[in-house]
Amino acid sequence: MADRRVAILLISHVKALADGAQALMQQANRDVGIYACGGLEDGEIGTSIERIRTVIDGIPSDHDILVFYDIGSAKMNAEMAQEFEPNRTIMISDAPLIEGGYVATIHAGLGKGIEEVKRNAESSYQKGE
Amino acid sequence: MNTTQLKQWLTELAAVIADNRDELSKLDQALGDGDHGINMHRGFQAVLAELPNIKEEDEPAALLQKVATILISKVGGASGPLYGTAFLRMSAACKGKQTLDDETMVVALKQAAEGIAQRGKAAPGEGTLLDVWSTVANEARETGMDWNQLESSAREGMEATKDMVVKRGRGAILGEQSVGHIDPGAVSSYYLFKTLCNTMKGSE
Repeated sequence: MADRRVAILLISHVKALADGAQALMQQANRDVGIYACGGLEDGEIGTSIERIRTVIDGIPSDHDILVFYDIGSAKMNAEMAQEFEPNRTIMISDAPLIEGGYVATIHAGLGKGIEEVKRNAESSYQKGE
Repeated sequence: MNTTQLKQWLTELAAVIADNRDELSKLDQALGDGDHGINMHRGFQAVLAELPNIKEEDEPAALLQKVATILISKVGGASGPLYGTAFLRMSAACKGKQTLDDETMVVALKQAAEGIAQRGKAAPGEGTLLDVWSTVANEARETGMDWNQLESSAREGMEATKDMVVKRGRGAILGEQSVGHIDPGAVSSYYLFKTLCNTMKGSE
């Protein structure tokens, strides 16, 4: 068991997609913190650093955060959010949002540390840069 | 360049983006998700709304940093972080100076281009806004702050994206099929430099 728990943060351009993925993963394990950040403030399609930071603020500080995203600009916004939160451990995985997040949920539920959870998610599923 | 000129520039840029927002979105439909005009317009209208709060005696770096924060939070997509990073780097290069001399501006442009490259994990020649920023930054370093020359460089950088295979962002999905399309971010960056050059030529 790792000292710190891992929370999963799902960033999608679409609210329904992030919320749906969250529901799917939460069903696999009710005890893992899974957070959805989908779309923009007004329900429009997109990603924004502000919204990502708000969701991160709501994640307990004793959790490390593993991020999964859907398409390119979501990653860029996640990277900026990461730079704004230098005191937290936030890692971004290039594994596909749903498959990667699902595998990560299982491993986080087993109490593994963030690096191991990330490695497991990525060794199951690979995608490009 | 001082804070008053910066404000003039940003006012003109917001107007040009407002006038061209449909064109920017249309270009983005070919390579991205078709919202570049809307996003940039939203961001620069927010910048415009902030300008009255900026005093003449405020440092240029403070205004540039304010613009960065607004663009990062309001533009969204990839353009928010990319433009935001460019303004943040320019702000850092201008810190402590009330008036920006040519040397400072050359450094600011260089660091902005490097910031965009880093944030977007992009290199020149990949058909993105970086092609405009790096062309302008290189020209400034080689020949100094000649505003007519810099405007031509910005235009060249923009037009060059038309013949490139896009390697970054959503346009990259198209591969070879992206050739023939001008990059929308390169066009908005061209407007940025065109209005900057206009403002500076007008005050010479």
